[in-house]
This record gives sequence, structure tokens and C-alpha cells, in this order.
Amino acid sequence: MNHIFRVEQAGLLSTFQDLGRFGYGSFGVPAAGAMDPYSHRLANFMVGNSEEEASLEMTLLGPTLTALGTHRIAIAGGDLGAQYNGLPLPACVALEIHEGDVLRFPGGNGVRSYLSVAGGWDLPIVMGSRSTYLRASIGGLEGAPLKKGQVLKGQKQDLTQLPKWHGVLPRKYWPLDPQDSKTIRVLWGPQDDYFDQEQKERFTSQNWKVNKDSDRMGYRLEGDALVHLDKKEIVSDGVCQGAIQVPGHGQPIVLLADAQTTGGYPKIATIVSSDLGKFAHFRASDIVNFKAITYDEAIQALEEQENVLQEIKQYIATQPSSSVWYYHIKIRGEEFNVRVEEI
Amino acid sequence: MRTPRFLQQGDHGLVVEFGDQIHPELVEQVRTLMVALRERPIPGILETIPTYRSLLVRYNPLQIRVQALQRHIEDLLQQEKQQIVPAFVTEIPVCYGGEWGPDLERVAEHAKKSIQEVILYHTSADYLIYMLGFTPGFPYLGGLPQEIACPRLATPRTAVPAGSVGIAETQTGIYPMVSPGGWQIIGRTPLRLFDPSKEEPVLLQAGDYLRFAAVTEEEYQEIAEKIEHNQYVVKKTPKGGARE
Repeated sequence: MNHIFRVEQAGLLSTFQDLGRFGYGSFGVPAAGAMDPYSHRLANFMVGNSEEEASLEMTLLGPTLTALGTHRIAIAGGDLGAQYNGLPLPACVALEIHEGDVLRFPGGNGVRSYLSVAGGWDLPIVMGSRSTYLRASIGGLEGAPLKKGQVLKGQKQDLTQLPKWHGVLPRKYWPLDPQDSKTIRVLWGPQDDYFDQEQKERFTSQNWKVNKDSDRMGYRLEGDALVHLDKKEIVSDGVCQGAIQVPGHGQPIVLLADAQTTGGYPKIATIVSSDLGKFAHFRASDIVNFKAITYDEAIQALEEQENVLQEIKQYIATQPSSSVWYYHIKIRGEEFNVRVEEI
Repeated sequence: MRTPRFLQQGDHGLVVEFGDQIHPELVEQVRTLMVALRERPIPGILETIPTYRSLLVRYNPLQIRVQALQRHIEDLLQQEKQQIVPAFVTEIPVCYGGEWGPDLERVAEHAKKSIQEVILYHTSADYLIYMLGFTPGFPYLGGLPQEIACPRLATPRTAVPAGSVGIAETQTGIYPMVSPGGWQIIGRTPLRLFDPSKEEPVLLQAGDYLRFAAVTEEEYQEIAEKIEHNQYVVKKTPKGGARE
């Protein structure tokens, strides 16, 4: 049987995403894809999948899911208060579920978390990708967010070769929490010459507040307005994920996975690849500040992140298969990690 | 060809900027480079996004660095100097007026022309597709005859049907999918500008041209029927070829 879950409650916004739909940008189709590619890849690696498989991107309040059989799944990303049959789960964990088990994501300190299943979710490939793009109703499951009553299916695959490990991913591999570090690294441009030195310093020196109108298309930031040197608009050109445009009112907008492919405002700076995933974990009212680095530093940061991901892959592949369960529980205000072993 | 400016957009985008104006010549340069990159690709390029005046190249920095990418593009520009890539004109059949084009009369009134004249003006031009965006497959077109320019609706519609052909100021365009919109709707095409189930999901391409052809309601239904059964062949001719 490849029926994995039944959706009991849809939650706020859960969509299937992969690494993005590339090749159609010239036709006005945004890449979409996981807002935090790092956590998406983690979730896949933790069940032995290729990073190309889709995962379920859950936002703030995730779904309530009932298991329809025995399957291995993984959760990775921000803390959405995940519960397994009522027991709290850590934010990055792989586990085996059985028919009737209930998984809930009632909300926690995090914004986005990714749910994978061993063998990958069974979804049609639309224009080269399984990513949901909501505005055009394509990809994912019927081009839409999860709905109550749906059955989530897995691909029919030989899973005997996949690693059998389950447990809590070591803390050092978890995605960075915005509470621990509020700094996001950027490269200047492509239109930083629309601002003078003072405005560029204003951009990197101040604490920007994330506005509540922030979603998969873009994040709006609030702070001391940036003043354009002269022109406030450009003749439209293409935009990348992470580009930070500054409209006439001077409050920046960070363009993200579902943003339109072109834009007509000057882009003062662009978030570097290695920090895009981290930025996706900022929530409304969080404070963010930007630090400008060089191209070489950006590449180095990305390579380091890539090495960590390969290390994690290696870690999971070499863990002994076990019937060990890990729980993170709170008793009278004290927190415990509990390990339960079959005997 | 003028040497373009190269601008970095983060560590995963390179903007090749040919100018900062809306001009057909720039579109031609953008399109030539886009086609050259498609024919002589280099590993690491994810996709390209053409606009009025620039080509954004999105790349994977783990596969290729900006310096190597820029060199490759400069080489291509050298080689493509003399080459002209032919553009195509796609014919868009449109049923004007009535329920298909509820704002046609208003546009005619505003232009102080007859309905027939508005249709003649609208079908007389070849429109350059500057770029696609807003929604998948939505063409930004240049070349609307000034005589039939018309302001947007005072109150935008919440849902404009797919295929609707509209006018807004000096622009004309086609809605590929149902979306909200404030353009004056003068007609509708049965063609599907965006069909994700197709191998080539988007009908039009930046740098090419389109022209509108008036059809009757019967012809509209006939074409719609053929499209439904995958029997319709979209009329596409090289630019500069004889008009029917």
C-alpha cells in the first residue's frame, strides 16, 4: 500500500515543494520550490531520498495527519510544535509510523517545516517539477494547498536499500533559528547605484522589522525609509530569489520563491544562496539585519553549507538501523530527551 | 552589437544589460543572446529571463562561477555579432465585442471611432512581444495604434476570463488565465496561452511578434472545438513574410 496519510485538518498553508521549476522563467513562470532548500534537503536525506523528491512545506500551523500504514517519515525545519500521538517531537527527526498514528503540527516558534516520506511523495511532475505554484494552480497536489480529507500517497519503490535509521538529528545540523542570529548576508546590487553611500549604510546598519504581509512571494520590511538618489523605478528587468527591491516609499521588499519573474524597482542588494533558507524562517515582527559580503565569501559560505549537507548524508547512511525511539518531553517545566528501546 | 553591462544579482544571477530603455532594438539583442545561450548552453545555467532591455541568467554557483559565465556570454556575443535570428509572428484569432469583449463599445466611444474601425486598427499592427510576465504567459506588447488607446476601467474586474484581449492606455495584451484585471476587454481568443499539460506550455515567446485576426462567433467555436481535440495548428509565420 502506498497510502501514507489521511488529512484530518488542513492547517494554515501546506504545499508540496521540491527544488524548483526551472526553465520556464522566460515565460513568466516563477521557479517556486522550497522556501528553505536546506531543510527540504535534510528532510529527504533523513529518509534516504534524493534531494529531488518533493517534501511537504508546512507553514506556522501544520496539518493533522492520520497514518494509513507503516512508513518511515522525517520532519526538518522550524519548530511547529510537532506531536506524535500527543507526544512532542523535536524539530528535526526521522521516525517510523504505523496505521492509526496521529501527527499534529499545532504551531511552535518556527515558521516552516518540511515533511518527507521514504521513497518520496507520489505527485505528478508538471513542467519538470513537483513544486506547487499557487497563483497558476500548478504542481503539487492539484495545484493547491493541502485540503481536509485528502489522502497523501507515496511512490511505489523498493525501500529495502534505503537507510533504516530513525531518531533525532544532532542539534548542530538543524537549520539556524532567527532567534539565535538575526544577520542575513547579501551582495550589493544589481541597482545599488540608485542609492548613495549614506543610504547603503542605512540599509546595512539598521534593524528591519518583518511585516505581517510576508509570504512565499515576498517579505515586506519596515524601518527608516531608504531614499533613492534620483529615479525610483527602473525599466523592468529579471529578478532572482532573494533580490531586495526598494519601491518609492523606501521600505524594502525581499522577493522569494513565488515572486513574479520581473520587477520595476531598483534592487539594492540580493541575499546570498547560503542564507536564503535561513531567511525563510523569519516571522512577522522578527528583526533582521543585513551584512554585505563579497562574491568569494558568498561562494565559500555556500560550499561550507554543501559540505555540511554531505556530512549529514554520510552520518545517516552510516547509522545502525535500530528500533530506538526518541522523545523530547516536558515534566513540571523541566525538559527531557527520552530514549525508548525495543527489548 | 554594443557591449552590454554585466551586473551581479547575488551569487546566483547575472544580468546582461543592453540598455535602460524600452526599444525594439534592445529586445532584438536580448533575444539573440537568449537563443545563442539555448543553442550553446554551458553547464550550471538554470534559466534565462528576457525583459525589455536585459537578460537575467540564473545559475547554480556550485556548478559555474560568475567569471566563467560572463566569459562564455562574451564569447557568444562576439560570435553572434553578424547573426540575425529570425523572429516569428503568431496569429491570434479574436472574436471581438459582444459577451467576448464587453468594453469594445466604450473603447470605440472614447476613440470616437466606429466599432469596425477599432477592430481594423487593432488587427492592423504586428505587436512586438517585449517580455512575458505578471502571470505565466502574459505578453507585454508594444505597438498599439495610438488612435485606439484607452484608459483602464475605473473599477477593475475581480475575474477576467482566460483568453480575454484588452487595452490599457497604449498597451494591449491577452490574459492567459482567469485573473483580476482592469483592462478594457474588447474580445477573446480561443487559443490557450498557458497550458501546463503541454510539452510547450506557453504559446508565445519574448522577442517574437503577434497579430490579431478577427473571427466570427462560429469560427471562434470551431477553433475552440479543434483545440479541445488537439487538432488546431496555430498559425506562425516568419516575420517579414507576406500577410494574408
